Amino acid sequence: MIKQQLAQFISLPYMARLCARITPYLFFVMLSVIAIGLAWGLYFAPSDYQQGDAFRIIYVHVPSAFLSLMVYSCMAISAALFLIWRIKIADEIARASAPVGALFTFLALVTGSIWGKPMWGTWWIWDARLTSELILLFLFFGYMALRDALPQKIGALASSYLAVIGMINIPIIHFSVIWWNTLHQGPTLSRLSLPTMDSRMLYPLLLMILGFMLYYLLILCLQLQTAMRRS
Amino acid sequence: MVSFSLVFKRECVLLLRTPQSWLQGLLFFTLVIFLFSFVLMAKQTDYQVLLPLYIWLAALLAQLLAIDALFKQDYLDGSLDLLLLSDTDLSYLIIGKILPHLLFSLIPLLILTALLSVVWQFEIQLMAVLLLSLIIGLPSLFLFGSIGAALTVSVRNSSVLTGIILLPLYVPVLLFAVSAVQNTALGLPWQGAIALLGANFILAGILAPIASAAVLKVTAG
Repeated sequence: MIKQQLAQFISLPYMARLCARITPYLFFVMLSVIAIGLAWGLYFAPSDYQQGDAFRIIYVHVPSAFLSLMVYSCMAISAALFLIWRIKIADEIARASAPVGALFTFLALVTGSIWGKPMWGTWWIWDARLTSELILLFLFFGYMALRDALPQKIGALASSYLAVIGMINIPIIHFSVIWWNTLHQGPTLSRLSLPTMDSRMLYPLLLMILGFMLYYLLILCLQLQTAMRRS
Repeated sequence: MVSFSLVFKRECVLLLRTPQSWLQGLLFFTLVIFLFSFVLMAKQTDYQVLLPLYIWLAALLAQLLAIDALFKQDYLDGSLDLLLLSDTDLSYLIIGKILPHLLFSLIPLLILTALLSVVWQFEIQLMAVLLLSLIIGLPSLFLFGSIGAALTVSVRNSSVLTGIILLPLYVPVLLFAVSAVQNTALGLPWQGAIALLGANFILAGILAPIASAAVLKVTAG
């Protein structure tokens, strides 16, 4: 009984209908959250005592970096679900996640470079976190390239395996700033300890992270509707 | 009945009969090394730091070139299907397939590296660490590489695709090997990096055959 309901719930047509219903709301909520977060972060938050206004790039950089890891984890977990139970919707989520994840990773690298030029005096350095973030970008590219190169059914399975195998790199990227004491600073946000940031700077940052997550959700909703139409 | 020893022997015979398959990799390795040292044109002192790194890079590129063909011929002539149908666990058979390739490329590579180290007058310790890092590092490259070869077995002209897929898995190995060699050249402790390389090898040894077996069942089945 419950199993049947669950099976119905995770079926593609049901999810596509659900997505179609929430997409407009999601769109406006996302826009307003990002707008408030940006205005608060870029205008109302006080400037840093050392970096001045240049620190404000974290309101794009940190959410992108955070999302790049989160999207990859979502992708790998969906891929695993697809491999174990052959849930079609899990594969669609994984497929839709890859370009979004690549975009966030790219954005994190670019904003980091723009910040790094005035602060570190260089666009790029082979620091542990930068290198591992670049590897993440290649993981997304590899996933997409492999999927495109193979026939649809085999491509879905093979790229799911690749996503799961690539999951090894996620903890390496996450802990790289702690394990290797390199140029990139340690994490500002952590679940286990109090934030080391002033709350006037912190809240807009959290808002921006939420806004980016909503964006990811919105893209997933749109992609699921497209997948429904295609099948 | 396809067994581990049968796969191993068959692979050895095939490699002995078609030496061009592994000699090409070796030739590529030497070519890259000589181009690097030719471009470098540095003083003797810089050689000690830079050339070992180039040896590693050339070994990685040569390995990447070779690994793509690991399952391809078997896939095309149908003998891969026999491996897939065998009662023996596929991951054992994959180890049986990798091992001859590893031996045929590692041993000549080690001899060549030792020769080059003598020619370029590396210190004994640097030469020892370089050879050690190759002995531990190259097997993990082959093991991880088998996953990439399995993923792209049915793709034509797949060498670039295999490279993109394998890059994330190869970078840690290259990183640890290079830091071990570089630390030795600079007179710093190198044991830590070698230990990490060893850990990577153990991880690859446990994980990669199982992963490639699972992947092969999908891509070639």
